[in-house]
Amino acid sequence: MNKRALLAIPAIPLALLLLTNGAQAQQWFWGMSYGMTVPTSETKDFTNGTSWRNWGVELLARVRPNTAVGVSFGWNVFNDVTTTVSSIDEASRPIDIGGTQYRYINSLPMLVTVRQFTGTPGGMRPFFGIGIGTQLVKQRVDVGQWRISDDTWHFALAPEVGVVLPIGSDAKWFVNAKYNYAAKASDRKHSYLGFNIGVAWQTGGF
Amino acid sequence: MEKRWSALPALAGAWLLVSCYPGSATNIAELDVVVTTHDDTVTFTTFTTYALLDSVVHIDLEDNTNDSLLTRDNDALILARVRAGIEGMGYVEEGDPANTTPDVLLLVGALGVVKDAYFSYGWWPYYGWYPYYPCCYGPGYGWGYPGGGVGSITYAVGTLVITMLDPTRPGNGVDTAPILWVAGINGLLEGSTSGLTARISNLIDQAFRQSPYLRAN
Repeated sequence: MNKRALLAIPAIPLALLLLTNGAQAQQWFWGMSYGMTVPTSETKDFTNGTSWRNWGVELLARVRPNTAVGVSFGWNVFNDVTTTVSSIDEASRPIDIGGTQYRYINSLPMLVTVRQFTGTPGGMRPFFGIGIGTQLVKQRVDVGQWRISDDTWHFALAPEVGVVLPIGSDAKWFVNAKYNYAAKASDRKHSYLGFNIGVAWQTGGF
Repeated sequence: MEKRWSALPALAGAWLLVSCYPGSATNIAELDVVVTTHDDTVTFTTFTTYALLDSVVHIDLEDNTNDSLLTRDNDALILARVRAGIEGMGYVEEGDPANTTPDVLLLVGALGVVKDAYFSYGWWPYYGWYPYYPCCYGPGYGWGYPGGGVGSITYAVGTLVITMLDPTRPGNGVDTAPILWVAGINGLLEGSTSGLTARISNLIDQAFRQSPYLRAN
């Protein structure tokens, strides 16, 4: 993906904010989250097992009474150890590699997020939303004294559902389930389902 | 205010302790690797006999002598395991290879090299920052540079190569004999003698185990 396009990602919600009226633009919601993720499909084939290394930050602004737009960033770490023999298909010379393989994926989604809230401002607010953007996937295998690593940028989608729970006037809890999908790039795609819990601060009437 | 901010180093430390690449090899055997490849146009089930060169060829890249890191202590073991491996695949050793050409010929080579590696170590967690060395906050302490540096390590790496050739097709003496199967075994030449011999045995066995297509008629 063009790196200039990456720079445009934060600019999109900021531009949206400028297009909204001043009062609503002051209503911010920013949060930090921790979660567990379950890899699916090709990600599961590479690193099987639940990950407990997942963090996220997000910043949203209310653009309509029940709609918020912003950016979110995540960091999800998957790892696995396997002694499965790996095969590489070379023309008429297949290669098989045996040994202890340490496999890692560091996935960093960077998304523009739109959320639609229900419920009453100041109370419990269920929401659903979607994130669109890019995802950097750093994939690595250590076997023997060799290391094979590969970084790929993917187009990413991340639908989510969740709920915001009030703690105090400005503090909130939130929980969500988010499915991260990274479209095929360099013959590889990734996906995983995350369950997150976070704490948020807000200004205005989320 | 100081108490409030004193939590920051702990939080920062907790964040730093989160590894991008958790888990790694905890013993030497986990750094061993076996790579095999074969000519998939060959039908191995047509073979029945083999011959094994009676010595391990020690290769020295430095000056082309046999004065390598490898001793001859394990040669007999290596040849015995290769013999057991190929016979486990159903091959029968040709008793008179000088007069009766076997279906396949096995050669074993060994190579040892010394490698140097350099690494840097920072001040966390080697020195410890919080709470043992409160360099960076609180009254009476200014910013400081706790330490760190660069280290080096030297280690020996051994490679064992088992090659299966077709001795019936060297032909005109110019062309090389076709290679049917190759196993490359690589690992650190470190650890105890008993550990090394066990690893050699296991790795040679693994080479045959991950090559089920070798099975003879």
